[in-house]
Amino acid sequence: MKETVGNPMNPFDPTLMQRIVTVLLLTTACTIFPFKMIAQDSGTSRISITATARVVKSIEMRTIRDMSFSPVQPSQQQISINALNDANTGKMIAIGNANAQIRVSFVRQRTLTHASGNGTLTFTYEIAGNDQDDQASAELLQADNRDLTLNSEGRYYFWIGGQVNVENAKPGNYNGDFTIEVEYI
Amino acid sequence: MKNLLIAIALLIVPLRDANAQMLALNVDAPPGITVTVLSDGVLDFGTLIQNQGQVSINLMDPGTEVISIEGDHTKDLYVTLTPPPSLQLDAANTLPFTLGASYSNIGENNKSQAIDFPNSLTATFPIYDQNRGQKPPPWANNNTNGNGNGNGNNSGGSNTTVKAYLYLYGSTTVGNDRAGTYTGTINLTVSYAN
Repeated sequence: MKETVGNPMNPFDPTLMQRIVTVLLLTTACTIFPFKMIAQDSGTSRISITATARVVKSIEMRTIRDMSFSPVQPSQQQISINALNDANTGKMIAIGNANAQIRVSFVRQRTLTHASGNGTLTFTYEIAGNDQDDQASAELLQADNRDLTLNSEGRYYFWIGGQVNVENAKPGNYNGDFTIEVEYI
Repeated sequence: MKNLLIAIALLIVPLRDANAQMLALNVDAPPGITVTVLSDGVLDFGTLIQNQGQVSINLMDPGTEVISIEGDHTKDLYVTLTPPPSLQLDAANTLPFTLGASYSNIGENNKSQAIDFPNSLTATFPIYDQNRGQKPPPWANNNTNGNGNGNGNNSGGSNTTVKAYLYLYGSTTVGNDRAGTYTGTINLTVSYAN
């Protein structure tokens, strides 16, 4: 009988079978362990979220001058101060972040009360605004404006005028507040 | 030569079996975790004015960051948040920052059902809470509609996935701080707890 044990060419040779098993084990090991690593890797995920806040300066309002009324004559029916060109306008400056967009709102009509408490007048405000310190090129503002921008120095200028009917006004002093709100958009 | 060919043939056949076994192992492996930011990825406090005080983005606010975590429905998740100690303009100018986090593990993106992290930075919870979730659970429908309700990518078998949702929010305080944009990075790590 011809001895075949140990012949590498014989597939039934136990030595060859051992080699095959070894190759298979190595092949299986090489394929299994990388997949286990992937499973472990894919079992952990990381992401990042950004938190952010933009801090801006508080807007400071400075009153440069108050509105100035000449004494009202008995025959005078109305006082009018043109916000665009009258030197008697009040003047204010908003100061904040350079080039920041702002919203400006104000109550167009306010009640002025006689110093004695008896009698009122309704003042209708008119406001002109400009990012340059130039009343002549200012624009009249509506009661709610959202498209305004502080200039490169963070300033915006307001000229405050208006009209009041004094035809039936009781003689004396009248006082009232004017409120303008400026806020960042 | 004939013997050699037989030997090669025997080598090839077991190798095919080995490949098949490899695929079987892949099926048995737990599905990986997929974390997706559903919002814009920026917890944005917006424009704040100097000395404004404390400003918060709360859980129910639209500015909350929403993150989905998709994974094996049988698993618990271990979530770790690492917030920045502060929001920074630069090294010398910072804003205090407090992070808040909640999760929803009922198979749907639902803030009103969210549970706060037991402490602000870590939480371990089942990715799907059978007791609180939908009846039937999302994977029961074998649904692949990907509608964000936690039932997408379900292909049957043991690898059914479901989504849990994270909500990040927080607060900061602005005093007489320098104007500018303050930022910080929140790192989120998610892994299986079991």
